[in-house]
Amino acid sequence: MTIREIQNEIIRLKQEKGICILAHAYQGQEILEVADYVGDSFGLSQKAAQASQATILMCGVRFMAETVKILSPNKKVVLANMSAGCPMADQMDVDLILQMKEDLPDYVVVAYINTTAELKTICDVCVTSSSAVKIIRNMSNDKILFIPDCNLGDWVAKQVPEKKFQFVRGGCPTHLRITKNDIERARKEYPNSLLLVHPECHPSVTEKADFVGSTTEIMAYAEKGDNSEYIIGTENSIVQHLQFSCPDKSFYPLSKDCVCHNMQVTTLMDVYHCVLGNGGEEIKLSEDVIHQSKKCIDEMLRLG
Amino acid sequence: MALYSEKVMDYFRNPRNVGIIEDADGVGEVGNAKCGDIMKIYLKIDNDIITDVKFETFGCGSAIASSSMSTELIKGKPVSEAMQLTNKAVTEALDGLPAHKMHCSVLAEEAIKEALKDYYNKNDIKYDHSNFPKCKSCDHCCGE
Repeated sequence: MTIREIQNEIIRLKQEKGICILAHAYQGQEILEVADYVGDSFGLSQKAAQASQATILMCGVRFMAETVKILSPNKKVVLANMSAGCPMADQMDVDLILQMKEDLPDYVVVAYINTTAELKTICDVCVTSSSAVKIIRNMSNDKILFIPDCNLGDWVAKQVPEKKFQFVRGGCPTHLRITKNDIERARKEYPNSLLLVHPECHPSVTEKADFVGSTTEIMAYAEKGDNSEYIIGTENSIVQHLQFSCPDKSFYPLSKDCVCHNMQVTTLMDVYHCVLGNGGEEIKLSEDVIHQSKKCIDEMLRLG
Repeated sequence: MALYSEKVMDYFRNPRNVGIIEDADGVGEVGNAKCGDIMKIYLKIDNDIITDVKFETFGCGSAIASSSMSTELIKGKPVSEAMQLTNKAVTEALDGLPAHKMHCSVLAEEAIKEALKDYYNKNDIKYDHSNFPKCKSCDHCCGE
C-alpha cells in the first residue's frame, strides 16, 4: 500500500467506527493529514471532550493521552504507540514532590501540563507553556513551586518578578540540545531571519530569541508575520509543517539535533492498526486519579 | 517512611557545584533524550588534582542528587582517585537511593569517567580502555 492508500483507509475506517484522531503538532505530516484535530496537548484534549465520537485516538505521547482521558472519562482513549512517553513528564514523582511540599507548606504547586496524571493529583494548578504567565499572575498566592521544567519556569519567573519561585531541575532533553552556539551559527547563516524559540529551551537560548512562545504561538507568529525567513527553535517537525502552510516563506531549524524521538515513534501504520482495532494502548485511569487530577486542570481553566 | 533520604532531598533541592566551566580540562556527557536524564560534568585539573568540578543535569531528583554528590566526592582529589569512584560510593554518601533509581548513581559514575577520559584524550595521556565500559546505565531504559 502507498502512503496515500493507507491514509484513505484510515479516513474511511475512522468515519465508519466513530474514531476522533488527535495529532500533536510534532507528529509527521502524513499523520497530521488524517487527523481530525492538530495542535498542542491541552487544546487537543479540549477538542476531544467536545467531539461527538466515543473513541479518541491520540497520536502524541502518554501524558497527552492521559489528559484526554481526564477531560473525557467516559470515552475510550487510545495512545497510538504505547512506547511514546515524555521523559520530562516522568522526571518527577509523587513521593519527591510530596516530600518537597512538606518543607514548603505555604507554596502552591504549579505543574506544567507535561506531567503524569498521577503527579497532577497532588498539584494545585496546571499550566501550559502559553498560559503559564497569565495563570501565575492571576493566582492570589505569591509563592510558587514550579515543576518539572526549570527552564520554562525561569522564563515565566522573569515575566512575573513580583512572585517568589522555587524550581526543581527537570527539563526537556530535546529542547535542551539547542545551545547558544547554534544561535551564533544560525544568525550568521540566515541574517535576515527572525529567531523563534520554545520556552523549554535553556535560558541562554531564550534570552537571545526574537520571540519566545509555545508551539502554537510560534506557528501563528511565523504564519502571520511579515518577515519571509524564520529560524525555528523547537522540535524540527515544525519547520516542515510551517513550510507546508507557508510555501512562500523560508524556515530553518535552529539545531538539527532538536528531534523528539518519542514524538517520532508513532507511525502512520500505528494509526492504521489502531483504527483497525488491533493497535495502541487504551488509557485506563482510576476514578480517583481522574477526579483528583482534574482539580488542577479546572483551576487552570478558572485562572486562565 | 519517606522514599527519599534527607540527603537525597537536600542535594536535590540545594545541589552543590551546579554550573559549567568554560575552559574545562575535561567534559563528560552521559544519558540521552530517551532516558530523560542528561548529565554533563566539567573538570578543571591542575597538576593531576581536580581543582574544580561543576555539573549541569536536568532530570529526576535522584539524578540531580547523584550528580551533585559525585562532584563533591572528587573535588580536590587526584585524578587516579576520582577514577576509582563507584556508584556504590555515591549511593552510600546519599544514604541510599530507591531501588528503581539506582541507575542514576551509575549515570553519575559514568559521567565522571567520561570527563576523565576526555581529559586523558586532550592531553595524550595513555589509559586502560577497559576502565571505561560502554554505558551500563541505559540498558534498562533505552537499550543503548
